[in-house]
Amino acid sequence: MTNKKRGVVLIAAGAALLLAALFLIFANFREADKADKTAANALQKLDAAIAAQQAQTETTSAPEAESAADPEPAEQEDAALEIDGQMYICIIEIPKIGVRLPVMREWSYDNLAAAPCRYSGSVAGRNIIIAGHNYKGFFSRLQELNSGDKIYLTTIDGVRHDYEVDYSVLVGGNDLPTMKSGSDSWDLTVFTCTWSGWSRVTVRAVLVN
Amino acid sequence: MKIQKNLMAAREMGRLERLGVIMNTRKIRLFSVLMCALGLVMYIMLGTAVAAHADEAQAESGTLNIVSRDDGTALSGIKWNIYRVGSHLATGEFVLEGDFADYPADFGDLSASAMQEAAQILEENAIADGLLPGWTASADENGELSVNGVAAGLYLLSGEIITIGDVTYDPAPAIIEVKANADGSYDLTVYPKFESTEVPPSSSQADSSSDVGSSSEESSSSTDTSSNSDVSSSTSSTSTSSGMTNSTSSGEKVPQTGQLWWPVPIFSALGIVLIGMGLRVCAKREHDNDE
Repeated sequence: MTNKKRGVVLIAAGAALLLAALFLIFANFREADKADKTAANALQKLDAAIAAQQAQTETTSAPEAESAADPEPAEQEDAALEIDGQMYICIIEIPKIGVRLPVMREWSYDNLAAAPCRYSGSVAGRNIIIAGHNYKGFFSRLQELNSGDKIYLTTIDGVRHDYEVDYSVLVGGNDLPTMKSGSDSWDLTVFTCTWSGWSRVTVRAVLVN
Repeated sequence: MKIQKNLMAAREMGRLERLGVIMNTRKIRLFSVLMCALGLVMYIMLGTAVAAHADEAQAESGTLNIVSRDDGTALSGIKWNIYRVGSHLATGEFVLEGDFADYPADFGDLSASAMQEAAQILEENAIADGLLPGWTASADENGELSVNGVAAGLYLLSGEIITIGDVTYDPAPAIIEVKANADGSYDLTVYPKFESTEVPPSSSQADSSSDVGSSSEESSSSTDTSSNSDVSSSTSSTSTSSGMTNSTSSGEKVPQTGQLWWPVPIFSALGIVLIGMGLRVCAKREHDNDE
C-alpha cells in the first residue's frame, strides 16, 4: 500500500511541477506584454508632449539648455513631464537592439514594471543611471551592446543627447557601490538583470554630442 | 482428470478475475493520479496567489528605526510618538488622511524647510486635538528605538523634550515616508534633528520640559537633502526628490530588474524526474502483483 501511494504521489508531484513551470512562463509573458503596451502608450504621449514643448520653446525663444559642462553635476535635476500620473524625464533609444522607451523620473518596482526608470543621477549631471527590466521589449538584449554602439536620450526639452557605449560589465546584485562608482569616467549607465537575476548587465556610456 | 481440469479452469478464472481487478485498479489509479495532479496544481496556484498576496501585504511594511543622537550623545529614554498621517499616491502627490486630513499642512512645496513647517503644523494640531499616536516608544541606552510592522506611507515623528545632564534636547518634528527600498524591504532608519540648550546650573534639571530661552546652542544632525533620489550606500542618509529627509538602513543591493525565469527549467526537470520515478514505482508494484 505504501509503495503504491508513493508512486501516485511522485507522479502527481511531478505533474504539478510541470504545470507550475508552464504557469510561470505564461505569467512572465503576460507581464512583459503588459509592460510593452504601457510603455508604448506612454511613449506616444511623451513624444507628443515633447513636440508641443519644443514648439512652445521656439515661439518664446527660450535660452538654450545648459550644456553638459555644468559644474557640480551631481546636484542637477532633469525636468520632467507628467503622463498619465507618472513623471517622465526622457526617451531612451538604443538603435542596435531596437529599443525606444520612455524613462520615468522615479524608480520603484511598480514603475519598473511599466517603463525603465532613472535610478539615480541626472542627464544634466552626466551621471544618470537608468534601470529597466529584462522584458523582451525592454532591455533583454542589453548584453549585445559593444563599444561604440549608440544610445540616445531625448530630454523633454527636445534636446537629444548622444552617447557612445564605452564598455559593458556584470555587476553583482549586491554590489551597489560598484554600480554607482566611477561616474567621473561615464555619463550614462544602463542596467538590467541577467537571466538568473543574480547579476546586472551594466552598460557604461560617454556623452559624445 | 476432471478435478484437475476444474482446478485449472478455476485458476484461469481466478487469474482472469485478478487481471480484471488489476485493469480496473489501473484505471482507478490513473484517474486518481490525474485528480491528484489537478488538485495539486490548483493548490499550488491558489497557494502561490495567496502567498504572494500575503507576502505583498507583509512586504509592504517594515521596521522603523529612530536614532536619537546629538553630537555623539545618545538620548537614552527620549520618547517618540509616531502618527500615520497620509500616503504618497502613485501620481506623486502626498495626501493627508484620517484625522490629519483637514489639517492645514501644505505639501505643495517639498523643500526641507517647507516640510519642516508642515511637520510643525501637524504636530501642533495633533497635540491640540489629543490624537493618539500609532506607536509610542522610548529610545534605549544607545538612543535607538525600533518599531516593527510600519506600513508604507507618511508618518509624523513627534518627540518629547528630554534633559540629560546639563543639556535639554528638543526634538524637531519630522515627516518621513516609509517606502520600498532598493532591496525590496520597507525598513527605514531616521536621524532626527535636535535643538539643544544648556541648562544653567541653578535651574532644575529634573524638569524635562524646561525652556531656557537665553543662549541656546543649536545643533542639527546633518542629512543629505539633494534634490534627486540618489540612494547612497548602506548607513548614510538619503533624500527623496520630494525634499523629505530619510535615511535608509538598506543593504547595498541593486534593484531586481529581472523576471522569474530560473525556476522554469528546475521545475520542469524535477517534474519529469518525479513522473518517471512514479511510473517506475507503479510498474514495479504491478509486476510484483502479477507474480
